[in-house]
Amino acid sequence: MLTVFSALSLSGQTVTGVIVDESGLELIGAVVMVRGTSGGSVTDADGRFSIAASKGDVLEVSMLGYASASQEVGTASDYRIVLREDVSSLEELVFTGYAVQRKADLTGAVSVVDMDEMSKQRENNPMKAIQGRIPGMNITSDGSPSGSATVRIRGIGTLNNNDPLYIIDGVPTKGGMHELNGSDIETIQVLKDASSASIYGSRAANGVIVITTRKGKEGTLNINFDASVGMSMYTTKMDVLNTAEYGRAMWQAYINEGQNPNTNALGYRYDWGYDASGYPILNKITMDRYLDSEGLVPAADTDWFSETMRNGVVQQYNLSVSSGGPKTSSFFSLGYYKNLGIIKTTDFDRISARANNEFKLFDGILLLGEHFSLNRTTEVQAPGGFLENVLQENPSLPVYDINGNFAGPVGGYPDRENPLARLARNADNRYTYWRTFGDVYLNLNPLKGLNIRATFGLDYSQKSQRILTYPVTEGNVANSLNASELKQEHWLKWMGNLVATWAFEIGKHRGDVMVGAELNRERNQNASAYKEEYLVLSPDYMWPSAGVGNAQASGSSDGYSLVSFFGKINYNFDERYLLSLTLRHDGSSRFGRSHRFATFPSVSAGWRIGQEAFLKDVDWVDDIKLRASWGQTGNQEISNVARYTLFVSHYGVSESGGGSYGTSYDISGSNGGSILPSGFKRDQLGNDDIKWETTTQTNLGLDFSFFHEKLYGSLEGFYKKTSDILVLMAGIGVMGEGSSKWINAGTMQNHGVEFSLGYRNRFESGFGFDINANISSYRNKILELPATVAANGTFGGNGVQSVIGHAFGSQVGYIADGIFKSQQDVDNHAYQEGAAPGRIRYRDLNGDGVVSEADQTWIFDPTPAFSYGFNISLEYKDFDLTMFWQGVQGVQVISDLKKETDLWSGLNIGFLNKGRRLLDAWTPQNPDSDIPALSRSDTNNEKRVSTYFIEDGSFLKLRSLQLGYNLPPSIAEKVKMKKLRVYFSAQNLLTISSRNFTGVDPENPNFGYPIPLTLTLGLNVGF
Amino acid sequence: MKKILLHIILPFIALLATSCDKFLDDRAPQGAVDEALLDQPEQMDALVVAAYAIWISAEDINSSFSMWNYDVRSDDAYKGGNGTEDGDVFHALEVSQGIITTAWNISDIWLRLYNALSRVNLAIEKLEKQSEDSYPLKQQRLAEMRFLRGHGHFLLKRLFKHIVFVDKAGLTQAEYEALTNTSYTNDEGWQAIASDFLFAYDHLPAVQSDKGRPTKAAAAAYLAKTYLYKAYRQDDPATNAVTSINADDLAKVVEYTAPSVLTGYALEADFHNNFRPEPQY
Repeated sequence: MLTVFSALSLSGQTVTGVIVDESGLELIGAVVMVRGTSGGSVTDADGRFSIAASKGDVLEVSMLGYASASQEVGTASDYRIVLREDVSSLEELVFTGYAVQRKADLTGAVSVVDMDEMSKQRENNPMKAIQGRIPGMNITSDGSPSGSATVRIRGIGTLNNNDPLYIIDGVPTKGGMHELNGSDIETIQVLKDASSASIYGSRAANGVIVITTRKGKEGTLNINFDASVGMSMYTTKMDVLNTAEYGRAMWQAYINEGQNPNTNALGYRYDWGYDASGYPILNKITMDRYLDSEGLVPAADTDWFSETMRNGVVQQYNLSVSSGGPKTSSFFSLGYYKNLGIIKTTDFDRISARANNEFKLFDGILLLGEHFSLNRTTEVQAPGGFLENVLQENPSLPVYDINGNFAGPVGGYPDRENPLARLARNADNRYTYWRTFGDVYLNLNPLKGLNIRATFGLDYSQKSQRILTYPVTEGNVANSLNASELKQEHWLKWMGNLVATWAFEIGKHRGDVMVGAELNRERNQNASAYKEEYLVLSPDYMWPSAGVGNAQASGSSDGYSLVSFFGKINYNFDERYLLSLTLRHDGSSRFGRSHRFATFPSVSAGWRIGQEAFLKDVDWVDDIKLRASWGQTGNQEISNVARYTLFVSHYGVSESGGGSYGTSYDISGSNGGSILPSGFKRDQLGNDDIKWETTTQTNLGLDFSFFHEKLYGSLEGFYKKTSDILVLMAGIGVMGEGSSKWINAGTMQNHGVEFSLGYRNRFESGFGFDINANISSYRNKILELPATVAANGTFGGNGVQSVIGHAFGSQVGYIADGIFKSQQDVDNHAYQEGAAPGRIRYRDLNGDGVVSEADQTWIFDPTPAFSYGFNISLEYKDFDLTMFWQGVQGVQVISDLKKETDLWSGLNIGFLNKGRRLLDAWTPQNPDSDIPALSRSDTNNEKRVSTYFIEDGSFLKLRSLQLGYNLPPSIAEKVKMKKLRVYFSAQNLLTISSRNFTGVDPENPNFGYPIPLTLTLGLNVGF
Repeated sequence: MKKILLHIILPFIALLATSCDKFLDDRAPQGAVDEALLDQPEQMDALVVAAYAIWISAEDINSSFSMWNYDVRSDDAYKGGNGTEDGDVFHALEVSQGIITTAWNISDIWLRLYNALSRVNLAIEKLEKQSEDSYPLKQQRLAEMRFLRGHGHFLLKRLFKHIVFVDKAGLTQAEYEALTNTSYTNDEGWQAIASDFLFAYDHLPAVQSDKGRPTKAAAAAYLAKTYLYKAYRQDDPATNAVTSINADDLAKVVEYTAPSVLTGYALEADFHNNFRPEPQY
């Protein structure tokens, strides 16, 4: 165990310890010396050393490939010293476009995700964990347990599909990152500009995210186990009225209308009159004990939020084993994630297994390898529109009636289902989703510098779900329909490619050439069997075969294919001047023969100023690189059958109404009992001339690193223009059914700036920090659209004004200008139909004396002024603390919620529950309020699109706060562990929002699944 | 070496190029019908059935083809679901206050009626291409379809007055986009509707074995109804006032409601029976 040591100090003690690297792996052959002496010790096969030193001495540890470290000898006799790899980040390898490049050689805008920081967020979906860390990448999601998220890179590029392309170990996929195990990820690179992404040409217009999974490292056997358990809580609730408050608000609404409040149909009884000044005054509210005449439904004061929400529990367990030898490398992992959502009965869980293996044959000339992962996810989602249902359910209705059954609306109560009953009826509608994802590859290295690689990748997923419709039993929404639908969906995507790379180096000229070809095909199929009428209403019985009522079957299939040819040349002169050229030629089955293929070129250049003679020897400059790029990428995310004129037959369903647009009709008047004759209808107009949509992007960037990578960062500016945008253009109204058509007819422009800066340092005392921040901003504008599309408001403009020249999704409306406080205010204002004291005043923009439809202007732009994030990472000896803040500033939100918190007749259904803000509405006795007076008949049309509903949605959130502690080696070794870290973290701990925001969560302003606060306790173990 | 390259690589590239296109031709849309199939005489009855079907399958209780929601402008009343908040946009029509042209109910009925008309015109377009030899029922089916077309235009014209007449089948997209709602004057519009019903009257049989198809008498009744509306001229483009009552149109009403025309039908004993919900009425 003990090895070499020389000069012994007779009066000193023996200090022992272990030297490890950052992942806890013991380092063999590290040299440990006492500063000021000449002798030293070398670590043994277990990384342990023993050396004579006394208190106050400084131990210095060094090893080839690692930065030296020092440790002051204190009172302890055993130390654990961590050595950090001394690989300059410039040497770091980045995966881009079928190949690997050194970060120093990159000429495109590529952001690399810090996996360690990201994994601290304990999110199921790794994309959610990246939120706010990469400038230019905007990620939005809600609090649903599965963690599905929407990812946008550099603004909104197109009018159809804005999702980026994911490349996992070389296999492309368009999403579903929450279905895979994020802990298996080794690196994530985000390719933001055209020159880096264009190698993926046909589908890269929205950016590319390149992901590689872990593999075994040579010479080691590592076992890692991570576990964590967390609790999630609902932090802010929608403020809604309780029974008494609702009674008060309703009384006010009736009084304002001049109607007798005791004519209400909800069972409220009012004792009211007029006070001395003649103002109406409410003395007392009472209610009958039972809301219904049978005496089954007692009047109540139900807090529907508390009844339907709970504290959620999140658990994650991951086990990974990796090993490597001279001829093989292996990685195996198992993961389990379970999230009990904060809405009762909703949950999500995922089991994943992965095996990555690589074999080096014939002395490395032939590499054979595979990546394979098998994932099973299952989820019970919240029923559609659930949060809105919870807001609207009357507080005076109880959850249960006196017999213990779910209570529902009776008498004049609005016909809405009991939310808790809805959850119970939905709890069995679980889906199970299996996904296999992987690839097999063969890499031939016949000559030095020449590599030929063939890859075959597969992404096969299958979803099965049984949707049970249980009878609704409560109140006047009762419905005896019971049914079971068994759905089965399959998605098969395969990819095959052949890539040859040749690296050359002649004197100061260095570079590589790559050419390749790829095929992609997708085939999807779905089927569903639906049947009604079951004797036993339970999941064990309700399979379609057991049903005895109406049956319906459906099923279909579609798919598409892609062919691509690509090539790239990277050139580097004297480590100072860099040039890169890419060309890609893609064809898609979605287009007709005449426009099937398109070519996407790109060029980029870089200048490593830091390597120039005048800067090379400047010690504090590590590198400064200036880069510029221009390139084109494509998009063809349209329907697989977009170019065809489609006629279909649709039998339809038997009840009329609901707009099924079926083609069957009882022409003979048989009145049921037989299959009806059926015909055809047109679904779509074809267009054989559609072609690729092209995004042209110019990017300018500056990367810098100073003071031995203590200060680092980058600055980017980009301009991108998407032309020939593929739009599904609805036919003009008189063209009727099936007149929509895909056309290339839009142009959109985005430009923006991104800046990121980091500063890190480490001190001898063992204290270290790493602070990095990023800020980004983009502006978006629609430049061209066909007149009919711009006029109908699909992409903005509300059908009032053309959206051309404005950002995607901008809205036009009225300007709400306060409340009329008196009749005089009404008289002094332009003529406004429905105006009266207490009503919202709308501005007469064109000054014609009438508030009409001409008085509308642009009032809403969804683009934020800027987005930012900053991460602070602190370390002191065995403790680490990380804090990550993320914010969006200067963004508007449209609060549809406000129609239900501020307006009594905000919806076209009466008597639903509303928000508590209504209690502060304008009345002559409450004249300073900004909330309009309650009204039962919205004659002033206050539901119209106006600035009343536009609020400032800026926010700053403390996304994650984590405190971790590495147990000292003495304790860890007692249980044979190399590393044992415990941590406590909080996600979404704090939200700072704007004062004028009246909703619940500015990130999730309307009825999305609430984003919870999660407190987690976890463990990282290494063997 | 060069020879090997030439003899292997060039043919390989050629093979690649041709198989690429085949690979990309992929498959025809699954579960969809080629338009060429719809020109066959065997499919005429199916197209006609689909044209009837849309009047039921595109129905929406909130914006009904029976027009009960829109009749609140005159005599009907929409009592609402549970108060004046319910059916707000119809309440606005009822009291004629707060009507906004972007309200959903105004464009909704327009779009749905034109959807129905487009399916009728699809049937008419395919029927017109048939020859009497291959499809002997051509005139009768055309009559049924023109009856439906007249019905659709009638509902539109009564509600909106200035409407686009899609009274020619088989128009191209450009031709549709060139249509306007002012190409017919008010009177010409009613005449166009009347011509559809007149063709239906001329070619429909007196009795239909399929209960879902209109009879000659049904066409006569609708023709009379059209002339009744046409008779009350509204010739002033600036207002909707009735400017004159035309005697010739009224004479047509008398002509098409003669008992000899409406054979097989008679007046109800009690006028109320026309509106009773019980099945026997």
